[in-house]
Amino acid sequence: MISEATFDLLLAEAIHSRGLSGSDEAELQGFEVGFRLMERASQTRVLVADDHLEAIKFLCKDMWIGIFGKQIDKLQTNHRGVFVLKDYAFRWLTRHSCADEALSRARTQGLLQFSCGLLRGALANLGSQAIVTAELSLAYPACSFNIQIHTLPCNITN
Amino acid sequence: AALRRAARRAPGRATRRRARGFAYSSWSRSSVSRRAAGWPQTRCSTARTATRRNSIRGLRRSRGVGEPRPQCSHRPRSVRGSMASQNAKSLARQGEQIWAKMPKVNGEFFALTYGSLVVQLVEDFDDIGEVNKKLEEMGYSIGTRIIDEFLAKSGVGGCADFAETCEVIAKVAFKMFLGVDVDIANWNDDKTACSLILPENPLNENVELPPGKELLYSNILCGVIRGALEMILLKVDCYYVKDVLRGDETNEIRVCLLEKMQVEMADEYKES
Repeated sequence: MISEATFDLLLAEAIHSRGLSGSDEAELQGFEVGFRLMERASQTRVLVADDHLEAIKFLCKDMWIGIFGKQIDKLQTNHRGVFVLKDYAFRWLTRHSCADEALSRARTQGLLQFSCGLLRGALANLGSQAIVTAELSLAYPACSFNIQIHTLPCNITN
Repeated sequence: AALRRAARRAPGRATRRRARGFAYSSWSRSSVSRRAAGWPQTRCSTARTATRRNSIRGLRRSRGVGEPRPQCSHRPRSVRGSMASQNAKSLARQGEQIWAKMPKVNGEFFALTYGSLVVQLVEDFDDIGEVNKKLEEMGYSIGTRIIDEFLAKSGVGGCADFAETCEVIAKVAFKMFLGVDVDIANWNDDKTACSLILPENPLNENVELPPGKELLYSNILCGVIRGALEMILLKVDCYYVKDVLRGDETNEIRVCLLEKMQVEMADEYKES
């Protein structure tokens, strides 16, 4: 366990110090972290993720609680591989204060890309290829993540 | 008129003593009430007997503004009364109390984030020395911010000298931010350099370095210490001496005081 302040500062430094806000590197870093986190999680429990919905539900509940201490507030799906995860008080955004929407989007872009990468990495470890985007369309500390899962044909190996 | 004045006056000390009984009259000076009122415990017997002596005589010794507290010659008096009773144990306790109150995140997530950052840096820079330097610079900018967090969350007052500063870093700061108990060792003669010994480093969780690399994996910690101390006007040199990931038994960070900086006006503000 580490105090939240240390982690926030480290994350802010990791994302912003190297001018990553514009490029894809924040997303790649998030991908690696998410992939490894899911690896660790699956060592301690048995994950039966035949269904994409089960995988997403695991993300919403256990992984989000492990990272942020709370669950995703709303999960919507069209049952065709598109999921929308809404968090009404995204912890990393609550520390940012911004009245202007354009400015807030510019500043938090790196952070949101990191989170998208996190989700994408976690899903990749569970066997799903996905495209994840984030939106700040709701009231400020809330954000929503759009996940589109590709169902690629793959060989089932034991 | 004099009679009315006498009646209105509050019962004097002698009256109160008689009313409450003798033992109670020294209530205001007893150790229990002093601790409750926040006074530091004066352990020295000279001070205690002086107080008792005064209360028995019935003297109300109201101290003037600048008069020092009764003290004995053999104990050095530090600048602020509260720091006089702070030693390593009380600092450690303070650190634990603040640690218990801080909101926390998953340690593995923290280690993984840091790990992916280091991996990214190693891929970007060819020279490992550059990576170490970059990690230290990132630590420096984190340190300039973490000192504000530290001063806000902990109730630590001013430190009398560099030795005390290092104690506070080891016992309070490391505990409240990383949850590790850090020891201090290897002071030099001037008391301007010491080693911080970390038995466990949360950044190192599940980390293995490939052999033959000179990478200082947790160099960010050195930068954090340097940055934080520079914000309180202490210029230090901070570097890793021993590292568990490179085969030693513990992690050791050496902190050397270079100078105490003075706050100076920039040239444009000075009157020529």
